[in-house]
Amino acid sequence: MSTTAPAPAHADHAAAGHGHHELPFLRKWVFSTDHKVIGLQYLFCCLFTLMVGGLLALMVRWQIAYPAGAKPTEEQVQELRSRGLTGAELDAELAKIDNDRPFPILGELLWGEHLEPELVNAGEVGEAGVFGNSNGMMPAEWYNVAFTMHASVMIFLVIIPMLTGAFGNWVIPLQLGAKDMAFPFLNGLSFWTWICAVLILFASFFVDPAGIGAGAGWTSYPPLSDVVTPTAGPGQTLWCIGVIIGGTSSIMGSMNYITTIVNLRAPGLSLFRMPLTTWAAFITSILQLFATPVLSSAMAMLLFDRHMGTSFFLPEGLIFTGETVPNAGGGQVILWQHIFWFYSHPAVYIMILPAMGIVSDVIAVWSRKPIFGYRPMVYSMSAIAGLGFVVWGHHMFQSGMNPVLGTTFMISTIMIALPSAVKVFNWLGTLWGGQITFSPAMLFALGFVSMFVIGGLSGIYMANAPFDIFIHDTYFIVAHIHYVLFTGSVMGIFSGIYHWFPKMFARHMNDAWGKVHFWLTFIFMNGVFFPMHIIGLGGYPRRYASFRGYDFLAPYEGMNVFMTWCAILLGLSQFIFLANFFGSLLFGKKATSDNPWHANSLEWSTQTPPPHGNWIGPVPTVYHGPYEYSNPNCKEDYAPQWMPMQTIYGGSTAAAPAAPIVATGGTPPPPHPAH
Amino acid sequence: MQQVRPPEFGEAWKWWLPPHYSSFGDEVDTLFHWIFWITMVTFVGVELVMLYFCFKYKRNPARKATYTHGSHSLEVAWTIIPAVILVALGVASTKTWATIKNPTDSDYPQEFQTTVKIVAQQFAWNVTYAGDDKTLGTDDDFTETNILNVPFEPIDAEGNATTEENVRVMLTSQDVIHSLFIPVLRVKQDAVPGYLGNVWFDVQRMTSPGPDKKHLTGDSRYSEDGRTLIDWEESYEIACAELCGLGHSQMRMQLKAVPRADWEAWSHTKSAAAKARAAAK
Repeated sequence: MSTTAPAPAHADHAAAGHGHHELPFLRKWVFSTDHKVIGLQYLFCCLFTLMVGGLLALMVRWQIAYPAGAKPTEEQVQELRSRGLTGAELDAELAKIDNDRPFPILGELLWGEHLEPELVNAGEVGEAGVFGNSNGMMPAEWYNVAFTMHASVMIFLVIIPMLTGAFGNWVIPLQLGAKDMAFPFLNGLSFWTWICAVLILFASFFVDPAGIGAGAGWTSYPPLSDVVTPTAGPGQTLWCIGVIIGGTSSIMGSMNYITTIVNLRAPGLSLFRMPLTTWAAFITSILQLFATPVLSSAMAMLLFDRHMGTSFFLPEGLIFTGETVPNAGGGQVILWQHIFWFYSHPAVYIMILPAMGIVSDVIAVWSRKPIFGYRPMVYSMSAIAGLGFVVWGHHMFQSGMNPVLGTTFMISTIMIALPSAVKVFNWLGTLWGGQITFSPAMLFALGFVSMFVIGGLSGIYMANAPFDIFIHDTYFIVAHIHYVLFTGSVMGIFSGIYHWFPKMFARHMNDAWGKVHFWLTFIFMNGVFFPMHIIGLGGYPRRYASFRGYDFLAPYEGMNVFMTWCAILLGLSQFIFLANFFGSLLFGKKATSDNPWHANSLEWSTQTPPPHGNWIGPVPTVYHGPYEYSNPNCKEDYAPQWMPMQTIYGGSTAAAPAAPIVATGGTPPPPHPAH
Repeated sequence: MQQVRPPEFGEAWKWWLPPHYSSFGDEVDTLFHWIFWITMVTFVGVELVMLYFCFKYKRNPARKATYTHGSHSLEVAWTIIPAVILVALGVASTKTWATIKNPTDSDYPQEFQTTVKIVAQQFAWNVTYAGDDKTLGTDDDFTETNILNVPFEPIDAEGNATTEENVRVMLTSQDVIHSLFIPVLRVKQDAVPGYLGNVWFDVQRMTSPGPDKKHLTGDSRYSEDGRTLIDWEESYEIACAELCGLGHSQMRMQLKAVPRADWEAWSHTKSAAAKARAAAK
């Protein structure tokens, strides 16, 4: 194993502690301004919110598979008939059959004791649960809350903060060779602001005694979300406030990242020598900075409509439960959708671009290859971000928006498939001729690429406006978003965790369990999400609390039950990850090298784990691009960015080629005084 | 030329699209089939290449990885080729889109034999019919809840419409957004409060039973060859496709397609009753 960190670092550290005084516990680990600590705070909090979001997902799935009001099955009827029962006798026996299944464990706790139909008919009432008593079965209003909060938690409290908060924070300064973020205090403030958003969003479950939180969908279309009604009460208000506060945290974070990337790059680190993870974070931050204020303004207008008597989104003559809504008049319902999707479509890219960056780095490291088409990768991410701002109307094809606009948005949306395709082809190009090691990080990255293809291609179906008429708001779109956000973003997150774990915690995760985790996740997630395409093609509408009552939905019961059990197994598989993560944190194999994967980017140049200030002494100088893997002129199959080429040309300057190696199109490093 | 029979997928339609009964249904499904094959070929191609690379380029210390930063010509190729396919797909879709959503903008004949107004509410569809005078907003209008009754468009054995029967729906809502979703007609349009939307469709009466109606073959309503309908009233399900609150999944409406003569008789009876009620006030 070759030592890759500059030797003086260790010496320095050992010598003096470098004038750092130890911070008190609270300043160091709780109200920290160190980007690494903040990144880890985000990481741990997001693992918790991920479990909450996952539990909500299981509740949603359970309700879809087993809604209340299950009829006796054919077999049960046959069985009774075979006992010679007919007529009223048969009916009486059939009425006793109870095929309703409350959500395991939590059902009775939340919605009351589940009683047999006989007892219910006899007028008995079971013990009430936390959220009232509906015989242990999830009521429709709670189902609406469950899917609304599942989406809100996963988007605002898991994927965005995990990718931008945890990885953005932890990785960006290290890959840039910066001692910290440009605004460390703002960074800490951003985290604690986000924690407020978490608390407020979670509180929305409990502010209404009936447990009716926000239930208007994460899209919260007015007037459903806009008029204060028993089903859109204080929970909905808190939801709006939570999203505004979460957005504020995003804005603070993105300003910080942009400033850091523009100003704090190590000497020699030109923009086009940045690793793609940092490039993705840069582009994502720009998206966030432009898009998030729009969402906040929409939420503010919604709050004003709800509580201050304005009418931004309410047209005249609105009648709710027989009564005219007093403040309604002059507003536009569709205005909300334009504003909301102007944020929320770019938000999809906020949730996928950082994962694309992580996966690019992981694939390069684990196949020992330069990224194929580094600049096209950067350009295509920029194109995705740019086009991402002019495609929001594809969410509104059926909204009553002018159909001419529909044509425009169809074309722009179809075009966004292009840069996505270019990225996929470049990942394949990177694999080509590589030396591929199937580590857990690499498996998740490969899983990302193979599954992102499905998510990307299914987007074309919906971008096609005429066919979207049929699949709009059906399970097809649910399949699509989950192929992008679960089998895409979440796989990217796992990949990143396995990849950077040794640098973060100075211990290794268990490889074998990591692989088991990958395969179980891969199989079950396809079991959950792939059939959604099929039921979507049958026209199965999303957000339906129950399929009962529709002939055309009846054939999907079996498939729904299958998906639900896959979801449960998918959820259980994640405990393998949690055990591996926390087990390795405490007992994992100690990292013996600062650069265990023989990677090139700067985060691997420092001590493990990186000290406060990231590098003891001056930051490293960058001499070339981040993807110099398997350079034939080098002795090793990697060439760290912080080492001049001369020192790695097989050990002797004489072996160096006449022309300097120019990494990935970048200019040669400017002469820099040695430090 | 319309398709005589809906796509034949036997009893397994739950794996695929449901049959379609509107004149534009075929165009929509054709687009789907194009996209399906384009994306399937791409998907299978990409996955196979990836699997091949994974096996072929598995770590092997005897070999060194290929050192390359990319290929300009490849980048150009895999940008231009998908671009051409995607743009062609987009352009090919514009006409269908205009036919369905913006008929004034296309060459589709602009005549609506039946016009109804639907006002959606939590959680029901109120359908107002124009009555005998064929004008909405008069005394002889009548309103039915959760039943959309329209004359169907008879088509001959070649699939050509013998008479035009286009239905126009003026669609709005009195409270929250709902969405009128008629799966077998490939129709979906949001019902937006404060805004009167336009939807049109026709229900083409099949000359042979659809795949999900196979059990009807031999039914007296079909001629001896089982292909021509003699008398047929069919009903389909309409669902709400935009989250509208607690009863969202219970907002079901029946679409009944009946012969023109039957529809006239039904409409006349209802309309006369409504007129009498109005006069009595």
